[in-house]
Amino acid sequence: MTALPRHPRLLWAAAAVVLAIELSVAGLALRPNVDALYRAYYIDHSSDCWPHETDAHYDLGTPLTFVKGPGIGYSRNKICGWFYTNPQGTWSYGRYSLLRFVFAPASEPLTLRLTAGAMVDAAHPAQRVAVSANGVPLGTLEFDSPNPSEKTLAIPADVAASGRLDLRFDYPDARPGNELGPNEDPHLRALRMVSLSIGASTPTSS
Amino acid sequence: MTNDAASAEIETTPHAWATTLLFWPIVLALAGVLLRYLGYGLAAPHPTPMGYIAATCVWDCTWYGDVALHGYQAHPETLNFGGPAGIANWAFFPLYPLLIGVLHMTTGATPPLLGAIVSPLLTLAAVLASWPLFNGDRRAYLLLAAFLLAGPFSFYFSVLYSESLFLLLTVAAFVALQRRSYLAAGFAGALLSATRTVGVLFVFAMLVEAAVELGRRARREIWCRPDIVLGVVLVPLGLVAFMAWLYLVTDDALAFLHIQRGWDRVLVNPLGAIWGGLTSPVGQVRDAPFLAIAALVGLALCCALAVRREWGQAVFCTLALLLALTSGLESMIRFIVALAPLGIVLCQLLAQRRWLFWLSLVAFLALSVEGSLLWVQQRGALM
Repeated sequence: MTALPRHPRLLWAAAAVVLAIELSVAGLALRPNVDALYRAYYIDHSSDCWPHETDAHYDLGTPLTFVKGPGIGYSRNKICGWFYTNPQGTWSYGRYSLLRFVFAPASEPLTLRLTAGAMVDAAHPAQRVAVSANGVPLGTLEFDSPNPSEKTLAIPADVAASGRLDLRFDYPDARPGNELGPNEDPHLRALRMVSLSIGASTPTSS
Repeated sequence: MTNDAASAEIETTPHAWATTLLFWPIVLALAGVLLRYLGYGLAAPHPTPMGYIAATCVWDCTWYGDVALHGYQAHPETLNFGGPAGIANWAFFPLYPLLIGVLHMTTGATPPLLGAIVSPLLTLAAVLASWPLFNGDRRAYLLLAAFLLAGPFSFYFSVLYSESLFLLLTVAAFVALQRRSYLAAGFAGALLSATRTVGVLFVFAMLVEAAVELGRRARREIWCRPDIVLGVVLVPLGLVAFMAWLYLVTDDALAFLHIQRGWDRVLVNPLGAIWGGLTSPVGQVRDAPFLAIAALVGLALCCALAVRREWGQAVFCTLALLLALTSGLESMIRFIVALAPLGIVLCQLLAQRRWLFWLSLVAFLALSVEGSLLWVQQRGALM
């Protein structure tokens, strides 16, 4: 049997001091002094958008790839709401995604052209994507296949003339990623973007 | 010779003690360096020692180096690093990078180089310190030395990762607990909780061992045992110190936990994660079936610890594995091999038969080259 400790009062006092320190730090843990953006993303998880800093430079007409591999990637224009790029494309992440484009102001309307597949199956056959630019709704696209298809939308002349485009994609039909398989990330997904460009050509379909 | 007889011989014969406990582990440590270099050499067109240091510094190695050189960040990164969220170095507990940082300031050597020197030495110290946990089983002791110092996963303990320090502190804590030195165990536990997230779980091992010692008298006798109480409350002190520092730097004492979102870590059911890995090999988690099998082996070894009535070790390892599994299967191999009691019980099982001991020893050394090669090639399962 272990011998009883010497100086028991000293040990009790030390235990009380250590416990008091630990409880006071635990109190700090309950009161993080952080800004609203940090709280929403990292603590409450009420937001899926942690905005990335970028100069967002873009040369009009340049096709951006969302596929891992060669080509001009979209990372310079990414703000938030995109998962890791893989050889099949980049999944949207959460309820909405943002992209930003800073370019030489255009005097005429522009065309947004994007190629993407969608998180669809027999039970959920379509994904709607509401697209807006600088807060102005451009339209709602519908994707009904996991295979990539091309869609276009017109961007009004006044938005094109600003030289800055904040594109927002809202996904009202987003589904948990682990519906694709138990080893997939469970965050909400809607669109698997493959490529995107903004240029002066006329839309061919929508 | 029985284990007790072997133990008695080692304790009474200095030559035997030095040969078994010191000589062979040192030889294996040196052999491990050569075998890992050989593995790197298979992947590198022009292998050099500095090339080896650079090639083996992958994944978290960069993060530990960042903490060692610059301390903790004030804010998450807002760069386009490839994923959906900003990441920060808060997920990396401070004791190991603090040690490397102090050595960097003293010597001027780079963190990856220091990691390649310090980590194997810490691992060697862990092996030497682990002898009391073997109850005189020399074969098992030598097998653990081979596994950790020159085995297929020895690269984890030879790079700028905190696994080696965690291993040493785990061994020290359980040796102290075995000797019923609760204060020493508490101090080791405090350092453990400053080394890795799961370190604080050692508090449960202490509680279990105290309950085993005091038995039915626990409720009455605990009031006569302030050493146990102080030992238990000491364990979280390392974590608490880290939290206090994070609050000063980031204004969020739980930043180490919250930043997990930067790596898309979400809470999952541990059993569901294992089942998913076994039944669905494709997906975001690379080599999921392999990792799921590793998790099952880890849990089986926890059961083996319980069967051997190593209650404290069994509780600590089970909770550590389950906690890791709540984030999914990623890094499961690293988590398992860094849990010293699991390595000890595995080697005790493999050393029960002489032929199995020799087979295991040869397999460990032979697979070391392959393990090192896969590490350099950044095989996903090893992350």
